[in-house]
Amino acid sequence: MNSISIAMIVRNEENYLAECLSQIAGAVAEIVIVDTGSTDKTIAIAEQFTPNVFTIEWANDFSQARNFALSKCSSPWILSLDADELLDKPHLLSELATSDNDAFLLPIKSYNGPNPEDYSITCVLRLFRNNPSYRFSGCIHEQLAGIPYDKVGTSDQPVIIHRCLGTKLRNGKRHRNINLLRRQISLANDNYLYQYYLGCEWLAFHNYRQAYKCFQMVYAQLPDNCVMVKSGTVKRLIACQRALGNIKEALCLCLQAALIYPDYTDIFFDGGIILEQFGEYEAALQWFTIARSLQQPPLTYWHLNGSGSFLACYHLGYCHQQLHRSAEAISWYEQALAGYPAFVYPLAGLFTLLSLQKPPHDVYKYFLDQGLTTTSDQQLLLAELFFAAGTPEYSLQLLQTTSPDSCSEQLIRYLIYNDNPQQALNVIGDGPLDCSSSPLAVYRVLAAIMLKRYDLAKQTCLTIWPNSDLRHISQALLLFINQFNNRHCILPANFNCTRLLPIWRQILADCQRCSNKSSATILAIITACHLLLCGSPDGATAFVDYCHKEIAAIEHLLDINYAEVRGLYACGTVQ
Amino acid sequence: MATISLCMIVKNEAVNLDRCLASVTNVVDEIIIVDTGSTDNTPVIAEKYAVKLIKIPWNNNFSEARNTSLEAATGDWILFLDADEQLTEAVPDALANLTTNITAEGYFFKIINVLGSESAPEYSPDVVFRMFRNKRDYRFDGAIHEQILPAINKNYPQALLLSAKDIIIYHYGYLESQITDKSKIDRNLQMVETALATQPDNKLLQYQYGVELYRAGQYDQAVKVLQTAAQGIPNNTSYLPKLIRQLVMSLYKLRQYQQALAYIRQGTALFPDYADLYYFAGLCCFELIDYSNSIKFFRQAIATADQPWHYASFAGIRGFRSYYLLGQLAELFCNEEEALYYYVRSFQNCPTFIAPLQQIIKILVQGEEPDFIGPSLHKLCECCTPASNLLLGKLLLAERCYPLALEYLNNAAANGVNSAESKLLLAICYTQSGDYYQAKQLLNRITSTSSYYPLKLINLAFIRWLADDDTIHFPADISQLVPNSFVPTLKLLTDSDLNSTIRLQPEDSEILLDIIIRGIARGAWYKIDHLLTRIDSAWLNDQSLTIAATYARYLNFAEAERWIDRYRQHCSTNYEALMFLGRLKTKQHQYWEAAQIYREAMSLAPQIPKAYIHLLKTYQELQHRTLQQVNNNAGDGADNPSTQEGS
Repeated sequence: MNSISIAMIVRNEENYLAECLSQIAGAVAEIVIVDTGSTDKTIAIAEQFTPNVFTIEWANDFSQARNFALSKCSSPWILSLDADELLDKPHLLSELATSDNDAFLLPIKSYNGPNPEDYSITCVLRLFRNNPSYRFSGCIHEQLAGIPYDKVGTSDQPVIIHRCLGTKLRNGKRHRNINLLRRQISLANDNYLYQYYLGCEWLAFHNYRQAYKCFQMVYAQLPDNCVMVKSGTVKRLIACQRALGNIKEALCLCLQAALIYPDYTDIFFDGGIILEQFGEYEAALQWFTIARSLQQPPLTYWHLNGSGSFLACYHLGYCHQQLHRSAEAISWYEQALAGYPAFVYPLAGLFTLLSLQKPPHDVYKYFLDQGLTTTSDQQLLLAELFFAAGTPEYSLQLLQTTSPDSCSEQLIRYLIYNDNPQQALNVIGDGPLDCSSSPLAVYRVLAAIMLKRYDLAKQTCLTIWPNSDLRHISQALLLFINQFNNRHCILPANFNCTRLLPIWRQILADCQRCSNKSSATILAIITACHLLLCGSPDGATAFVDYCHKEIAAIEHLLDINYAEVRGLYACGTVQ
Repeated sequence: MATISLCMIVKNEAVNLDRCLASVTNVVDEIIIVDTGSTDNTPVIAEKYAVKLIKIPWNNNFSEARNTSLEAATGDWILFLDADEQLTEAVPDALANLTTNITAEGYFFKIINVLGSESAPEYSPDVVFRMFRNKRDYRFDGAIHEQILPAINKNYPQALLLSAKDIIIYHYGYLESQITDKSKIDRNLQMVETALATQPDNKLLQYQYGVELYRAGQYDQAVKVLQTAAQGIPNNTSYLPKLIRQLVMSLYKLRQYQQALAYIRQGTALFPDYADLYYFAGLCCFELIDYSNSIKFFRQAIATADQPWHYASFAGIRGFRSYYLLGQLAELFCNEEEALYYYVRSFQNCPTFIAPLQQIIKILVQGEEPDFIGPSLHKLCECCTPASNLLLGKLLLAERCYPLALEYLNNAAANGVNSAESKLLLAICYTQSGDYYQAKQLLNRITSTSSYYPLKLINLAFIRWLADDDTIHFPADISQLVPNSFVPTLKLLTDSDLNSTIRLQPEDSEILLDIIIRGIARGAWYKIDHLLTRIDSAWLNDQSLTIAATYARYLNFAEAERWIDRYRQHCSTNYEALMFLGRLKTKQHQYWEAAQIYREAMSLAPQIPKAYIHLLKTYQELQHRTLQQVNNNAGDGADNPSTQEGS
């Protein structure tokens, strides 16, 4: 506890600094903070935690700033940390400080989003003895130099957690980084490490062309035994090629890399993904199987969390599903969820496959019993799936525990098609409807019609008429109300109903999925929309196309079990 | 020229012996029959042929008896048959030619086991060893399953044993008529069990035991025994294919379909051309609702090459049986065209197999074009014989296709079919076409001694009720003249009190329902309605689906809807009812209602393809109509003088 100093450089980190410091304060002897020009409350916050707060002028040189911090540390060991990082289990640091080694590589998880499993993991050298010859070099992506190789140990605890920052913030830093890297490269252009980091920055900006150039240079020149950098390079090269549409080249890279790094899970996973894209599901299965058996590679590799576990399982399930092997697919989806219950991807495939085996009630019970209806992501997705399958009663049950604010549009939809128009109206409320809520206008009219409140229906249409973005909705609904009341009208020949068609079509499609299969009102709504659509040649085309989609969806369901005898039920296209 | 002695042992084989001896009397040189104690006409029949008849007491030892016959034989060759067998030569002197081969020591013969009923027999081929050189050392061994081959192998290990060409033995012992009671099966079972007691490790005996257990319906035991029999025997054992099949059949009977499939996989690895295994795989997959694979397997069965004789492949597996099941599968996918294709092929492959014919008629009758049925049937089968006309008439009558049935039944009658049954069936057809006079004429010719008399009375009562015909009278004790199950129906039709009600037992249902359906078919809806009010409500609830279907068939959709609603109220919604309702809506062009109903059916039973396919067809129909309308509108041109402007 009393042998470690934190060395940190900061600039405008008021959002994160307090949390970071309060977490580690108790585990270390000393905190040294070097500010390089904050204009916010950073320094004030820092001073709350430590007296060792220094200020220097920023000279576009990360190493210089960090080394200054190192020089101010007095404990035998130093941990280099950033303000936007957190330590998982900081009390374990002191154990490492008792070893014979001079430095430690610690795992670092970089989060891509709020999800606890959505991160990549590798290792970085951050913990080292306080020795004047151990100093950073390089103005950006500074590397700690001077430590003998055999004195560097690896530990899988504690874990450094690099938060997912907002895109804006990240991009701001990237511009700065790119400039610094370019400068560094111009000084020493055979140091491929900087090319690598430059490529990473370009990649983050989605500039795949530039990124590709950098990585290609590194890949061509760096020897294979520089595992950390070269493996990271090859993985990113594959990503670039994929993004640029050069899928065959990407696959070739996978094949090459698999031979050089046979324990690098991510390569096999990426290869599987590419083959899956090609539709080569059998081959993809083999690659995903290897990825799964490798699980997590050594920490020196840059590893996407899950590519050796739940993600691989999901893709194995997906490939089996495409090959019409329902039992295997279900099994793999379940395994994916066993490893990561909040994982949403497998739910859709599971739902489809199970729905073909059991009635909806049993499917619902399955998800409930497996504990897969607890997060709002799960609830929303499953609710939508149950609605598409024509059983919105289960959609409503799923959303019982979700807060109405986060899902009001879906909730209203399910209420309407579950014969619950009054409650739908309650949720919509009486306030004015704006652009972002255009479906709400439709729902309000439908609910009103179901409650025979035609005045409310008409009124809703009239109130949105003035808004030119919503006028087509208003027109569509007014015509619909009239048609519903059997007051058919012939539209003038030059009337362009293109924007109206999708609205009637959507109502028609949704009505097919209502829970009360013998509702006379729903039938009347369907008939009204049908007549409206068939009132014009364009509408008739839209209707025929709609039927086409329904037919294709049903054939798709039959294909899951009966693809081999498609000839018995598949129909040719209607001309 | 070498001589052949036929050696047989018999006991009470008066039924079969003549056929057997007649088939060999001119092809063998000597017939020796050892009778072990017949108490019927057997010796008399034997005397008709120049046989050497030896009577010995039965000692519970088949080998002893057979060896007695061998001792008496003087020919160069021995042929042995059983009394329920018959020898046929495809070319003259086929049997004699076998003796010209100097190097042969014995011959295997093709045997065809005739199974099932005489009217619809099935054939199962196999191979048996039946002929060998007459040598003193060649004697049978084994009290129960007597074997000659061990003696030959022991004395002459290099003996050349060949297959007999151009000769087939027919074995009639497995016909249903021969296996008159369980006792024969039990006797066989006992014999094998006794033999096994003395030779518990004899694999062949174990296999035979398994076969007998299967015949006795003890499938569980059969599986265990067959599994033991299969262990340790080499892959080229001649009865191994049949053993595997027997195992599969036993597991199939036990509904253990996955295990059966596992054995099939092993079996087809060893014998990839064994059609029967694919056939049973098709059956297992069918039960597991794995229709895709079921179809694949049946197609594979059909595609196999001619089966080696030792596979003993059942008749029809490469033909009518598999075709029939493919037709059933096509029907599960509502593909009537495909189903008809397969049923036709099935029927053509075996014209005595009437199941596909029934299905063909069903499909044609349910189709939209009644005029199509007659010509289709004419194309399909040439009905030259009275029997075939009668058969087709009956099948059509069963599907209530009365006018066409009348045609065929009249053909049969014109060609001499004169039975009470045919008169009754004709009368029914005439009644349903409204020609009550003809019907009565025919019915009156059925006498009171005929077994069809009760049905005659019911039909007369029906005509009287339909046509308010006072000229029809019945004896007062009419209830005594008919079975109890007919009485409620009779009462309903003849009671002078038109408001009396009746109570029903389950056995009364069949005839009453038939009368109701025929009444609806006649269009006597008002009368039927009134009749139904006099019937117990609970019974009507149970029958409401059938009644609804009948009204729908005769296009009274309103009543059909009423009855289907009643069904759904009183009986839990089931798949069949929903499918019927869906079709009913479709017939009335209410496509959106039909779509909703099919979706409900899909939720009820998601694994059954039918509802999905009907829903698909509903959307197709909607598409079709919309396009038609668009075409029509386009043809109309732009002028629509009758339309209104408005908002």
